[in-house]
This record gives sequence, structure tokens and C-alpha cells, in this order.
Amino acid sequence: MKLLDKIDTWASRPVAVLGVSGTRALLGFVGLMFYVSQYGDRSYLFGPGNDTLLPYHLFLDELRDSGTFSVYAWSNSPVVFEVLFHLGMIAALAVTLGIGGRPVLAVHAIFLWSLYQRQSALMDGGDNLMQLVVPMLLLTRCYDHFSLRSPLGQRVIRRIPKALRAAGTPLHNLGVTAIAVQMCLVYMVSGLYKVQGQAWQDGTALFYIMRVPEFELPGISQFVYNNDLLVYLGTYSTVLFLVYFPMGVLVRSLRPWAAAASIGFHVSIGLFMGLTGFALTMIACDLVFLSPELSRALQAARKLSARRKEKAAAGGTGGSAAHDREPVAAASAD
Amino acid sequence: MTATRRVQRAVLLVGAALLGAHFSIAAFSQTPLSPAKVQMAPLLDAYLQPYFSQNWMLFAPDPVMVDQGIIARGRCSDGEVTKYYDVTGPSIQRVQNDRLFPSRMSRVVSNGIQQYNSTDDLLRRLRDQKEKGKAKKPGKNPIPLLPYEKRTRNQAVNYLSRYALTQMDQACTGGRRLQAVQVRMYVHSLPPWSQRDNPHARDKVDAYEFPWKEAADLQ
Repeated sequence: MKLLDKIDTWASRPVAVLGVSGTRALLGFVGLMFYVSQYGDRSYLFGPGNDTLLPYHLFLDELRDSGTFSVYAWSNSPVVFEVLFHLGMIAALAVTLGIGGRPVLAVHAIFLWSLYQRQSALMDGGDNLMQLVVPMLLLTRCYDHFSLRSPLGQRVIRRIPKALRAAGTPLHNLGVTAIAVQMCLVYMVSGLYKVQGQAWQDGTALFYIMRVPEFELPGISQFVYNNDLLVYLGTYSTVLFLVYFPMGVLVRSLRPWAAAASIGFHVSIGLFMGLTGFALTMIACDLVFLSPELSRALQAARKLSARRKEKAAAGGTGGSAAHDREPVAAASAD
Repeated sequence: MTATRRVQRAVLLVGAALLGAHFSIAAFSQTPLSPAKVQMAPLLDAYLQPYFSQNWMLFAPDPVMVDQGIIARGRCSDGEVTKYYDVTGPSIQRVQNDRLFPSRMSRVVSNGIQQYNSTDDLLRRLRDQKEKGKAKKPGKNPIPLLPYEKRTRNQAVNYLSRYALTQMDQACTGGRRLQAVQVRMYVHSLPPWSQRDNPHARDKVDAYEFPWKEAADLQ
């Protein structure tokens, strides 16, 4: 039966393992930088004192209204706050480096959610996407690459019964699909609402956005918004790209191009508008579409470094460097 | 068929069904206002809030076109009223000076203003319709602010006032305390596209004064 075969393939062959590992590492980094960039203002923004932006008792009221939790509500002691903030930061660093596997990722998710709740006025679309995607990542094998694995983790995994371990692959594929669908939803919705806006229809939206001081790169932005052609091109291509992104992803041969366009688009958003966190979050999620390309890039990089080492060994005094070469097969093409 | 295969098939199919349901609800929540959406709103909220809440109307349908911000003045403990301080400026400066993960302090003001102006989609549509009808039948009452809108606005003003208060703690010198603060919101419109090449085109500034807030009530 053809349908059953298809189901079995989807249930037994993990997709985009390399890409989703990249997503995890980059999202970890963006989370870490959220802590780092607010570090100097941490007690004013998130601390429990009365002279903070949102005093502790008002924060508790807000939390009650939204019906959620935050570890920063546990105590109004400044010491506990400092401990929690730094633990959260360490968890983010561990996720970036790939230490501790999915349990640490879950801890990081809880800490980051707590921080967002403590001061929701700082959030943007990137943080919104982050809080939705991290739980999806928990389903995936996002620690297979770009990670420092511990023997303890391997031993724990071996103890899990075989039937339960078998569920890992379909869960992984579902998690990757969920991230892909979420990305399509983000792009389509933001594209279709732009279609309805006057400034986007006129092709002048970029002119207006780039002049707003909060999103301006002084000295550079004016070269774009004072050039009619760039404004038209930028505005219309933004809308076209956003609306047609799902199609670009569904057609396999267009997929890397759609992802590359998205990365280019968000690099310019990060650069011109200063929305680094948002831009990198989107780019991180784009990586799930780029697994084969990432694998090829990694292999090329490995070959290059191997060749360089060989050359160094041949030109050097000893021949011992040859066996330091990394195994090329580690990057599986999936 | 092995047990492994059975487990894999079951997990995949059940999971796919759950994901399908989840994304149907999430996508529906992002559609424009419609009778169906109004009817289903309690159901959507019950499922999506707070953990799956999302909003992807990024710079859409209308992008930010104006430079909004706040200035504020204070009243010291001896009754002297200070001059106005630029509250927004320094945080914008921080963003513009740092391209890599800039401080997000400027969001405090822009999100506060956004909260002040926020309303329900349905109310916005009704008010827009009334506004359009007004041209034909002048003198019709606009829809007043609902209690929850007044509460949100008051919260936003408190939030902005608290931020202003903490940013201008040097305003009262000589051992006096800053006792109260008043925020003024400005909306600075730059010349529109059609006037981009007109050297005589002028900016337009609208200002809205918020009530005085006692420092003691804000903390």
C-alpha cells in the first residue's frame, strides 16, 4: 500500500536533524543575548524592588490576570532574584552550546517564559515566536549536532524501553513539521495583512518605517528611504515574499531559495531596524528548511580543514597530525 | 508488523491530528474580524491563552508612520514644578548606537503608548463606522470608552508615568524629593511621501497631556 509506506517513511526516517540542531543552537544564543543585553538594567526591569519599572505586587496582579506562572513570582528577595536570573542565563548558555540535552532545554524554556512574563513590555514578534517554537523543539532530536554530549545522557537514553524510544522519530518529525508550519503561518498572516494596508499597496511603507527613529539606522537608512526605486522594490518584494513563502517551502526545489530569501530579508531587518533578536529568531527557524544545504556546507568546511591539516603535516616536521582529522561522515545528509 | 512500527505509526497519526487541530485554531485566531470569530472568541481564548497566544500583524496593515514618545515634568516636594524632560530620547539613542542586540528600554515607551491606544477589533470597527456616518449626520454620539478600555488606559498612563519618574530622579536638586510627575505624549508626523521633495514641508506635532500622578501611588 502506497499510503502506508508513506506513513512508515515519515514515522521511521528523521528529517532535518542537522537543520533543527542549528535552530536549537541559534535560538539558545538569541535567548542568551536577551539576558546579556538587559544585564545592566536587570534589577530595574525584572527585579523585585519598589523602584522597579513594574513593582513586585503589580507584577503579581498581572500574573493573576493572565493566569500563568513565572519563577520570578516565587520570592521578592533580591538575592533570590539574582540567583534565578543567573541560573536562567546559564541555562541559555547550555542550550547554545548543546549541553545537557532536552531536559536543560525545558528548564531554559521555563526560565525564559518567566522572564518574558516579568516584563512583557519588552517583547516583540521574535520573543513571541521563540516561546512557541521552543516547546516544539523539545519534540525533536535537536541535540544530534552542534552539541557537547555527555556519557551520562547516553546511558539514560539506553535505559529507555525500545518501544518508547521508537516514538522518538515520529515525534521528531512532528516537531520539525510544527516549526515549519508555524513559520508559514507567521509569514502568510503578516503578508496578507500587509496586502490590506494603504502604505503597502502604495509601495511606500518602507519610506515611513525607516524614518521612525526607533527603527532608523542614522546616516544609512536615508540612502534607502530617499531612493524611490529602492522604496518601491523593498516594499513590494517584502509583501510578495511573505505571501508566497509557504509555496516556496512546499516545492522542494524552491525551498533553499525561499529560506535564503528569508535569511537575507531578516539580516537587513536586523541591520537597518536594530531588531537583532527578532531577525535571528526568524533565521534560526529558517534553518529547518536548509538541512541538506547545511550538511553540504559542513562537509565542505571539514574537507577544507582536513586538506589544510594534511598540508601542514606534509610541510611540517612530524607526520602525527594526519590522524587528528575529523570524520567526514559525521554530517549525515538528511 | 513489529511493535516498534505500530508505536511509530500510532504516534505519527495521533500527533499529526493534534498538530492539525492546533494550527487550525491558531490560524483561525489570526484571521480578520468576522461573525464566526466573534462567536468563537471565548473558545479560541480558552485554548490559546496564555501559552499559545500569538499575533503576526507585524507592521501591518498599517506600519508605524509617526515618531511617538513622551516628555514629562515633575513636582518637587517644595511645590516647584520642573521643566519638561525628554524621556524617550535617551532610550532611542541607545538603540541607534548599538546595532547588535540593542537595549530594549525604548520598547517600554512604545509599548506603553500602544497599550494606551489599544482597543478591541469589534469596537474599532463600530467606531470607524460611526465616524464615517458622522459626515452625513453630524451630532451623533460616539461610542464612549468601555470600563475595561478606561482601565487599560489608566494602566498605560501609570506605566509611562512610573517610567518617567524613574528616568528623571535627578530633576529635584538640593535634597528635595520628586513628589509627582506628569507625562505628555507627543505624536510627531514627518512630511508624507507626496511632500518628500518639498523643502518647505513641515513636520506636525500633536500633544496629549496625561493627569498628574503622585509618586507614592505609582510604587
